[in-house]
Amino acid sequence: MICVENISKSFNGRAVLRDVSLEMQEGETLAIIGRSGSGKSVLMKHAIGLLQPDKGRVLVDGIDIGRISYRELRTVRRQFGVLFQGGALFDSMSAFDNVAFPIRTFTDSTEQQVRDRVLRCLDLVNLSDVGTKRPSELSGGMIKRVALARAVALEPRYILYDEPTSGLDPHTSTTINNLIKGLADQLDVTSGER
Amino acid sequence: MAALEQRLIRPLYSLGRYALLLSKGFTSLGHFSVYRKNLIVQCGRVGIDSIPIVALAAAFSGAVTTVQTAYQLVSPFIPPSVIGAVVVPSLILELGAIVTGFILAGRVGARIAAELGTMRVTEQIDALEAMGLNSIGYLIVPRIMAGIIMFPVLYVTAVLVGVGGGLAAAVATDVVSTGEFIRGARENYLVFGPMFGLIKSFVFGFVITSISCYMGYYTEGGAEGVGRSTTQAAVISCVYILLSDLVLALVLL
Repeated sequence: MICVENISKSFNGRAVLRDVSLEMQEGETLAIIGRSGSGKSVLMKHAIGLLQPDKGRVLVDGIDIGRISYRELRTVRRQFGVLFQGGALFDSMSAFDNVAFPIRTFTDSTEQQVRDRVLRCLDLVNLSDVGTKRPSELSGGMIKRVALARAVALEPRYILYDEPTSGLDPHTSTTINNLIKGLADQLDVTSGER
Repeated sequence: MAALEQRLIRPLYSLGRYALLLSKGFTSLGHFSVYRKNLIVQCGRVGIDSIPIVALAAAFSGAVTTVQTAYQLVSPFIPPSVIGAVVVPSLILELGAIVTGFILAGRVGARIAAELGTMRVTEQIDALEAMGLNSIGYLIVPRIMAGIIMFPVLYVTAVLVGVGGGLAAAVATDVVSTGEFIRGARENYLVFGPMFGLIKSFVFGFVITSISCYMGYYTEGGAEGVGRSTTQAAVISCVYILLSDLVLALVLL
């Protein structure tokens, strides 16, 4: 369970979040809607400790992530999969290597096991044929889908999506929305969208 | 008043953040296997890829120093071997390291800052952190290590090529024979010279890569911010190369 308790955050004196609280239960899919600049991405970054609140706290499974060491925070973060607004794919790597990166880094899988898992993840987002391509060779929708495949590569307990369909055409948006819904059912994850 | 306060606090804030960046990078590294590949790649980019430009600059530095020394010193009262006695120690003590330093500040420093800055503004660094990886250790430590490892290699290359360039210029302009040049160099050879140059090259390698990593890692403000970080990385690295050069000369010579 993710629990945000009364957090406030300001940047250069401008309040972005004021006394925000929310709870995300296990297996729940929660969408946060708001106008541009209202602090949705900031809230999401607080949930994984990428930003620290000026006031309030964030609890992940009862652990206050603002009060633990950096090493412990990294362990907590490994339960998350995050889809960033622009995909945030590593542009020095191919789509395949992007998805393989967390698997190679955090598991002892053999290269064959990595390959099988990556292909399964890419297949999940209907992109099994783009593995060799670099992010610069992919369309916006493809980038988000590869990023989604990367986010689920380690089968996280929680997935956070930051504007997963912004800037995409209606058809691709529907595809991604269906993927998110399908992933929530298939992997039984807790999802936060904005 | 607030502006003055800002001006006074800003450098201290940057220094503190720089120190924290380094300590966070080196104290929570995790398994070396995660960084090994990146370290090898960075050694290639920082070191091997820089050899041609460093060699070119060193060859011309050696040649120009020789020609200018000959212009200033050679007379019937001064033996021509003095050219070798001036040029070779100059390259070992100063030119080999400083020329390499300036080239790396422009070439490697700017590239590191641009790479990390782009990763920052496109949220790639956030993505690494969100995965549970120590982004500082993963991105910054291999670059700094590569700088420390490869700069001495480049320094040695620069000195050897510089001496070659100086000798070639001396022979080509007929101001001194090869034998006289080498005799002058050997007679005035300082045993501590190469050691001093190597110490400088370690320090310069650290200064350039750590400053550039710092500038890139904390980039703000999109493409404009990346441009700003890139320029600042090169300029600030050059300033700190000069400063550390002076400090090392005062302390070690």
